[in-house]
Amino acid sequence: MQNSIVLLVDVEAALADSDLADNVYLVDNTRALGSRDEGRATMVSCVAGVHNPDGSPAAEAVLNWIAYGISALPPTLPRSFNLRSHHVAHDHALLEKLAATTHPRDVAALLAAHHEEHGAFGAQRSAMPYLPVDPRSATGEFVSPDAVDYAAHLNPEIVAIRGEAVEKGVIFPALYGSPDFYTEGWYWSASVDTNKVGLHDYILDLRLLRPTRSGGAVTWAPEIHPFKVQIEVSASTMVNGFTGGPLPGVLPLAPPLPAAEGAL
Amino acid sequence: MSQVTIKLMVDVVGALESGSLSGNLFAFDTHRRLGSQGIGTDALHTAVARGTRIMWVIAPLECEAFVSLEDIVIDRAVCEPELNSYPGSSVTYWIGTVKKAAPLTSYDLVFSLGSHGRSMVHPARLALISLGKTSEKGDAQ
Repeated sequence: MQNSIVLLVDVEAALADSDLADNVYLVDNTRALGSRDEGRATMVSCVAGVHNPDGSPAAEAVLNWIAYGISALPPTLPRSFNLRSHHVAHDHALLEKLAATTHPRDVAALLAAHHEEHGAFGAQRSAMPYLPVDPRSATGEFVSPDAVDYAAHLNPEIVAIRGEAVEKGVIFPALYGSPDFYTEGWYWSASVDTNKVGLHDYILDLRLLRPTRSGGAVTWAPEIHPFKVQIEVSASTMVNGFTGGPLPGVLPLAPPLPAAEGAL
Repeated sequence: MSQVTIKLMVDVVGALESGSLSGNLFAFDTHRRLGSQGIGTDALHTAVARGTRIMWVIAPLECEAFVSLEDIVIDRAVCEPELNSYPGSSVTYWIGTVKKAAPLTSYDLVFSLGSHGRSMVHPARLALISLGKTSEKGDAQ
C-alpha cells in the first residue's frame, strides 16, 4: 500500500506570517480507507495495515511525501529537462546572434536584451545554492533570481521528518533519489510498522526561502518551519477480495465458453 | 495588478471510481488573507477585484494519473480565461483577468480524466467573490 501525502503551501502567506499555520493544506489518497480532514492542515492519514492470519505482515505500508507551493510550477512539468534545455537554448540563440554581429553597440544591446528576458548569460547562480538553475514563475516566465516576488513561486522543501512516530519506530523515513528522470529528484518516503496500531504524531520540517534586499542585492535565507502531522495506523487480517474469506481460493472467473461450431 | 493562483488537485482514481468530482477535487488559492473561502474543498470561493489576474493550474494527486482542465465555463463579462501551455511542453494552464467585480460569479470546470480521456464536469461549485475594500495583495507582502 502506497500512501501519497501532498502538502500544498501558500509560501507567500507563510513568509508574511512567519508561520505555517493556516498556510498549509494536506491531501492524501487514502480517503476511502478512512483518512479525514482532507484539504486541511489537520488531515489525519489512515494507514491500513494488513496481516496474515498468523499475525505476520501481509503487505508493506509505505508513506510518500511531497510538498508544493500553490503558486509554483505544476509538478507535471518536466523541469529538469525542458526548462533547463530552454535556458541553454536561449544562450545558444544569443551566441548565434552575437556571432552575426559586428558593431560593439549591437553586442551590448543584445546582451542587455538577453539579460532582461532570460537572465545573465550562462548563469550558474552558484551563490544561491537553494534556487533552481532556471527560476520560473507559475506561468513559466523566467524570473530573475534578484526578484523578491519569486519567493511565492518556489516549492517548499521537506528537509527532515522526525517526532514521536519516528522515535517510537512507527515510521522509518528517508530521503530517496527518484529514478524518474523528469521529477528532478528527491522525495521522502517511509515504511510503516503496522503492528503499532493507533494515532501517531510526526513533524515535517519544511524549508522556505526568504528573500531580503540589501544594497541592491538579494539574499535568500533558508527558514525551517516545523509542521505537525498525524497518521492513524490500523490493522486487519488479509482477506480474499473476491470471497471475503481469509484464505486464497479459486478466482470466480467464468468458465470458458465452448467453441462455437465451425470456429477455428 | 495582483495575481492569484488557483491550484486544482484532482484525485483522479477517486473521481473515475465514483463517477464524480464531488469530494475528489481540492481547490486552493493564494488569497486566503484577502477573503477567499473554502480553500482545500471542492467549493473554493476566490476573492478577486477588477484587474486581478487569475491563473488556474491543475495537479493530479498521484502523478501517474492523467488529468487536464479542458474548459472553464464562466460569465465572459466577468472573466475570459484563456488556455496556454508552458514553453516546450504539453502541460497547460488557464489564465484570465477579472474585467469587473461581482459579488459572486460561480463557474464550471470541465476536466478530462484518465488514459481514456473521460470528460467530467464540476458544476458551479467554485466561484469568484468580491475582494471588497481590503488591501491589495502587494500591500501585505
